[in-house]
Amino acid sequence: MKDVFHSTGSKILVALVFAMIALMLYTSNASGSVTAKLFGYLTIPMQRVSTMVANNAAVAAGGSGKSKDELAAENQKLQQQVDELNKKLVNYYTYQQENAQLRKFLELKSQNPDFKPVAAAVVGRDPNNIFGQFTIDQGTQSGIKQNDPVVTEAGVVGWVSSVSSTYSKVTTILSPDTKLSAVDKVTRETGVIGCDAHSADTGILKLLYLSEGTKVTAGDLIVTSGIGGIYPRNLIVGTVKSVKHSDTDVSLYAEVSPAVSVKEVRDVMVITSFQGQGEALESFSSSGGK
Amino acid sequence: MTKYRVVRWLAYILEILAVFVLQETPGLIPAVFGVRPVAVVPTVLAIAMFEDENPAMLFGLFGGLLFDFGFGSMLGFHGLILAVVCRAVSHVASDLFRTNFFTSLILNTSVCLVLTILQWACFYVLPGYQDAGYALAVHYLPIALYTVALTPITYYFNRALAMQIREKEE
Repeated sequence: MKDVFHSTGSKILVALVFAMIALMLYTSNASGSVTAKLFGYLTIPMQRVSTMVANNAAVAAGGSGKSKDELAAENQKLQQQVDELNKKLVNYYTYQQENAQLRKFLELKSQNPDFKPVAAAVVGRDPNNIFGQFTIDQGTQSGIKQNDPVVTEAGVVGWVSSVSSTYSKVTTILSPDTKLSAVDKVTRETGVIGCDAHSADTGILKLLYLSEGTKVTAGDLIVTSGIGGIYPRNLIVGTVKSVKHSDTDVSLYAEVSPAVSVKEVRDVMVITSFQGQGEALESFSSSGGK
Repeated sequence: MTKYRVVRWLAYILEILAVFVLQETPGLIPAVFGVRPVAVVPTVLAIAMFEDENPAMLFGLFGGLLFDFGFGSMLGFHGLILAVVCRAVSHVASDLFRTNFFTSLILNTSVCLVLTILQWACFYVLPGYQDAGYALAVHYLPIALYTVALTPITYYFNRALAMQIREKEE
């Protein structure tokens, strides 16, 4: 037993323990540090390729498999053609997806001339993150900054919680870390969009802090209010499903079905600049609210 | 250091990287009741069962740092735990236990449970999120269970890999 503790391996282990503790102290999150950047350079291109392959697998698998007993030479030629066509088909679907994405991008841009959006693809979803946090394939090199809002053409998805040069981590609206000021488009009543583990499971958001005499009803459209400077005004959050009494106080809350299925979204846009961005953020973000 | 040992270690590095990419890519590993496994953990544990203590520790460290990177947690948290655990597993597998599927299953289950509890305590309870018990029962433990369910694949794959290369080495 004494040998175990005096072996070179044990010394390496002790050194490693201290090195890891130092690393943890140096970086309280997995972005920004040199190590994180190295892992990003190593894994993000692989994840990008594997995501593309996964997205196109059904298409690629559809055209293969030909008989080979008859006319071997012709079959080989045909097989080559099939392979070439499959490659073209994969490219076709990739371009089609890009085209659709750019159309939505253009639509959003024409509706909001002050927006500077950056298109990004979801390349990673960690199984341990229970609130749907995901990784996108764009980072500071594309002009993305921490706290930038992440949207699709349908509505709000979340915000950039950490950013590196080639990738960013997005915290979704299903996370309790997200607190988003929202307004009922019909009644103009305001509240705060929040979520907890229960509601995140069902994919339902809560519009909190509604007053006793609230006129918010099922079917109302909920949009961002723009207060806080994180999200632009009038981005769709979702539709009211029902209004309920809070378990903890006298206020009411509305259950809101989000406009975007954030646990399944594959392509997003990061708004890197918009009118009113950052206003009131400095005083607000010190409390950790988003 | 023999040529085959280098080949074996390179194969392990590629295996861990490939498993990590599979784990992180949306839609590749099917979700069961909304949860997906953390495939890197049983992979580094299986490698540790067939490797010496120091290489096992380094593969644990590599897998753990990838885990941290994907999870977005403090870099080094899982790296530290998996480095220590893999060294211990390698020691136990070479000196105390027989290396077979049953012991692999026991070790995997114990490690996954401890790792899950630590993760839940450090990244869910300590930040002050609500419904901690619910999150443990509905999310963390099912993830651990699904991760343990990968043991047969990771154990037999790494056993075959180790035996193939070791045969050539000898």
